[in-house]
Amino acid sequence: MSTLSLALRNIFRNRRRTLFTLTAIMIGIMALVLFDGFVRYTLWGLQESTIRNGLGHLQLATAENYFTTGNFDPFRYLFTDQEEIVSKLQALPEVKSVVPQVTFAATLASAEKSGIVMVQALPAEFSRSLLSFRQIVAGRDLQAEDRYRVVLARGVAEKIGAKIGDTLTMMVITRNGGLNAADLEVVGIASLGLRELDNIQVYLDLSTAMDFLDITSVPLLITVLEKTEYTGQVKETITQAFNGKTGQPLVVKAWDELADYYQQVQGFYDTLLQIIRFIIMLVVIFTIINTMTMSVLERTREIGALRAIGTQQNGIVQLFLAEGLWIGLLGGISGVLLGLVVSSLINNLFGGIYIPPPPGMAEGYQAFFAPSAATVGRNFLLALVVAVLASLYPAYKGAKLKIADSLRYL
Amino acid sequence: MMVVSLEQVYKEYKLGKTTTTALNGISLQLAEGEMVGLMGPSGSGKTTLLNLMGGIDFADRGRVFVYEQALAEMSDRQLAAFRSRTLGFIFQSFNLIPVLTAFENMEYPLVLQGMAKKERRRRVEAMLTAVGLTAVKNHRPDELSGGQRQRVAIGRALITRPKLVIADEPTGNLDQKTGKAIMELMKQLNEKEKTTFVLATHDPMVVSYTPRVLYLRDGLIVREEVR
Ligand SMILES: Nc1ncnc2c1ncn2[C@@H]1O[C@H](COP(=O)(O)OP(=O)(O)OP(=O)(O)O)[C@@H](O)[C@H]1O
Ligand SMILES: [Mg+2]
Repeated sequence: MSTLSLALRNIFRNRRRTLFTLTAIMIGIMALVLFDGFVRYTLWGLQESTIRNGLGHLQLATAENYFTTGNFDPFRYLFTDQEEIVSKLQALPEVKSVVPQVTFAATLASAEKSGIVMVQALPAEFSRSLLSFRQIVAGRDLQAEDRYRVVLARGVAEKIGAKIGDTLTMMVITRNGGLNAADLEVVGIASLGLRELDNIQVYLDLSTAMDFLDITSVPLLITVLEKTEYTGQVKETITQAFNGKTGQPLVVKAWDELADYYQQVQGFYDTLLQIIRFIIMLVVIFTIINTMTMSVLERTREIGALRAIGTQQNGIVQLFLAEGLWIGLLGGISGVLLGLVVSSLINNLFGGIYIPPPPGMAEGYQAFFAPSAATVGRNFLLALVVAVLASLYPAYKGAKLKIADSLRYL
Repeated sequence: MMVVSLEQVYKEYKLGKTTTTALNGISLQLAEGEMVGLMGPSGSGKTTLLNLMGGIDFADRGRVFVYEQALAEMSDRQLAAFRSRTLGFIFQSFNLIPVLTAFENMEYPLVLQGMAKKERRRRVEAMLTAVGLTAVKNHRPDELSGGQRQRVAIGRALITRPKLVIADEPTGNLDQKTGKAIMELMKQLNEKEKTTFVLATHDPMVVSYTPRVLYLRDGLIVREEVR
């Protein structure tokens, strides 16, 4: 008769109360598994969209400053041995594509209005994969042979009153301080999902942009990998391989270093998750303390008898801690299982749940639950630890009962 | 060597403003192999006296020795070991562990002693036979009659072969016939193993088995009979 098996029998003495306690833990842990799964899915979605929103997995430039002020002076940061670097990158098995890109500020004018825009130019064949978050809402996307044609973000089109087929004039300060202008035909209007981008972004094919700016290389190489997990490892490889071997300094940034928004969202969710976890655990702790205290009280005489026949105070503590352990174990397992079942039900049967547009986003999305083994394990362990900790005080009270008094207890 | 020795023992209980004197300067000695009955009206201090002998309660003044050891000076761990190895407790209301079977209830004190499983099994089976419970060994207390429960409790108290058995109204919840059978059992053990018994009771049948009877009143021994 080990303490553990005695404890297991004891927790089922008052079935109704134990079931109530287990249900409380189960629901709490289920909620945590669901919320963890939701956050993970959302962050994963945000991560992938951030990467496809033009960040790529890794960005290479010639100076740290490029990442902060490069858009306003792209000429300063142009690669001198771009071809060599690109071919070396493409030789890596994890690398899917290397996309040269130039971004710059320009003035865009229609017949009536003009405005400052941010031009993003990359080879048109990459716009589908790297700018896949855009939805073409009118006209079409750029194609490889689209010279001097432009795709406008929806907000830009509205601001300057442009439609498909209109011809707009773009003006830019050139490398030597002169002013260059070109006429561009509007072929498409895109919705970008992020309101701030919608009001400023326009797209050109890279060859048009290089011609227009009169440059032969770009200031930024975007590297897209086969899988997001490879990011850290490839960054390491590149940093090692190119260190000091190129004429210019080389700065490599991973996508998450550049995605301030992603990091904010992640931080926000982490904090939220901790608060929710704390509240749920508080409820669970008080439920268990209550159950255990009642159990100790009800079994006062029995504790007295156990002590009278030679059980040490420690033995009583161990017994009630073991009961807490069982409650945590059973509640944790059922909570985790229920969480997994409910997430797969919602994912598969209901096709996720609709989340209205988060702040700063133009559109809502369909959320799924993607609980990971790690979060499931973490929540299960949490249930165990919390249940044992919550049993400490009642167990101690039970052990400290005066034997003679508890034997007289009715 | 005396099994139990009390010197001028006082015990009071305070409940709010009222103070009850449970033991009022009792002195007492029990020798090895004695079987002693403890009688007296309700509230005369019988249970209190037994509790002090068992080290589950402590005197306000005076000293309690069991096998020449002062119980008041022992730690919880030492007292637990003393109760486990030297003592057997029998209560009026049995106080069995409800989730354990008759077998497991008797086995429990041996588990506490860390005895190997095989030896435990052997001893419990023998005890089940001695108290006549082999047929119901896998029943839990709520599936047993009062007499069967008390026999489990006795088995549990005797299984460790204690030197001193403390019984507080062991027949209080039993009919006369079952009570007698229980007393026969204890008498046998007392004669065979020289186990010392102290039995608090209101039942004249019980003291008919005890050669020495102490009569308590208001926390004092007022009369002693030796037959
Ligand atoms: N924990 C306690 N708190 C207050 N008073 C107590 C306590 N324990 C015992 N008493 C009092 O001490 C006195 C002696 O009690 P005790 O239980 O020893 O009597 P008893 O002889 O065993 O009585 P009974 O025959 O009814 O079992 C009684 O007056 C009782 O009310
Ligand atoms: Mg009594």
